[in-house]
Amino acid sequence: MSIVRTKHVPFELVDYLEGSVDAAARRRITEHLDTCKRCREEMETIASTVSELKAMPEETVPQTYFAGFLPRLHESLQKKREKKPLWNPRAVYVTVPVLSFVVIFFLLLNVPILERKPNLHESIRPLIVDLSPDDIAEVMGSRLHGEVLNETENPAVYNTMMRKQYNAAKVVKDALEDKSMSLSLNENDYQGVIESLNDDQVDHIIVRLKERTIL
Amino acid sequence: MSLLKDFELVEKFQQGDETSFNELVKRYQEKIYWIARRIAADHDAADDIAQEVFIKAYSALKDFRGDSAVYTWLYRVTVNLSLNYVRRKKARNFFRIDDFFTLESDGNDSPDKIFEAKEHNQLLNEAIQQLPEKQKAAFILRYQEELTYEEISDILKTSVGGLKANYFHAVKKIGEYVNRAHKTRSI
Ligand SMILES: [Zn+2]
Repeated sequence: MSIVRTKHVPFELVDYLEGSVDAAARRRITEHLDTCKRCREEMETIASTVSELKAMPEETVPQTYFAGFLPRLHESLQKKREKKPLWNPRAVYVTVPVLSFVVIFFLLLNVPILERKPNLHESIRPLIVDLSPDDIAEVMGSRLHGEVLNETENPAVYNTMMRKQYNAAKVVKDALEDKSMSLSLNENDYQGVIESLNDDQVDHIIVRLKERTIL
Repeated sequence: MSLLKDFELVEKFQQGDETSFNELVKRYQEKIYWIARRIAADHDAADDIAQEVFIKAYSALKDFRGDSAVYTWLYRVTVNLSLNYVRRKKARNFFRIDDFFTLESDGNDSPDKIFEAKEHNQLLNEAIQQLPEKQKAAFILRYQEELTYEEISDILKTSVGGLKANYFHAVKKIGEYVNRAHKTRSI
């Protein structure tokens, strides 16, 4: 029985399993694995992950996206060029002192420059109020999203979306159906309901969501 | 017409030939988009990042010196912008929407059973997303973009040895994440 004298090979194992090492390295690693239990065990811990990763479907994006990329880039570059005069030194010399003076003036007067909504769970609030129509569609399962769902062929994506929708809808539904809200909720129109919420109602949902995170 | 090398395109661009810039964009837009997309895990973010990379490139290439490959520079900016995006997003949404909605999946509710088996691929994607920055970048560039360690080393300015270790630990962590998820689910 031989004693292991060659270097351990853990950091080469992913490439080895992937088949992306050259013949000489392959031979060396194989020989080492034959004699080293420790590296064999390391290999066993990652072998299934490597093959699972390999089996993952490739993500795709429509080719039309790349076709439109360059024209949009030139639009942005053009816009950038047009904006430039704003930053010429003379403009800065004038604007900076003036703006500073205005800011200091208001600070001294103790006038709040930005009106701030007091209290109200500031970390969670944006979650609700800043949801884009797309987010709302995704989470709440609007008709728009229904179409997207029908089109997706990836069962993983489908299941995850359905799960999110179901859970999200349930949280919001529970919150809305609270007696204090006096709101009746149409099962199929969460998006419409979300969009029509007033500030107090949004806050109410936030409270509910917060309770859940604490639990 | 034979294909010009990257540095030849840069030279022509520096001499005022705009079409050379377009050629570089076409050559790298997909690679850059996919690196950003895999790190940021979001199409719109990846699109913004890819656009920003080339907007930066447009001015930077004017004084680009040929002592490193153009794509090295492009990929490095892409990785950095993408990691910045992930950081900002994390900070902004430290209560992630998922955190609320997965709390619901605690049993009893029968409709939840439909979703019980969260698909394996989804789990793998989640696992990739939770990797620490260095491991994530090494994993994406090596495993998904299939760059060599030498190339990645130039891009990330990390030693080859360090990268190999990052790569191995990344795969190991992905496996652990998936196993843990399966265990918690079956309890
Ligand atoms: Zn060994």
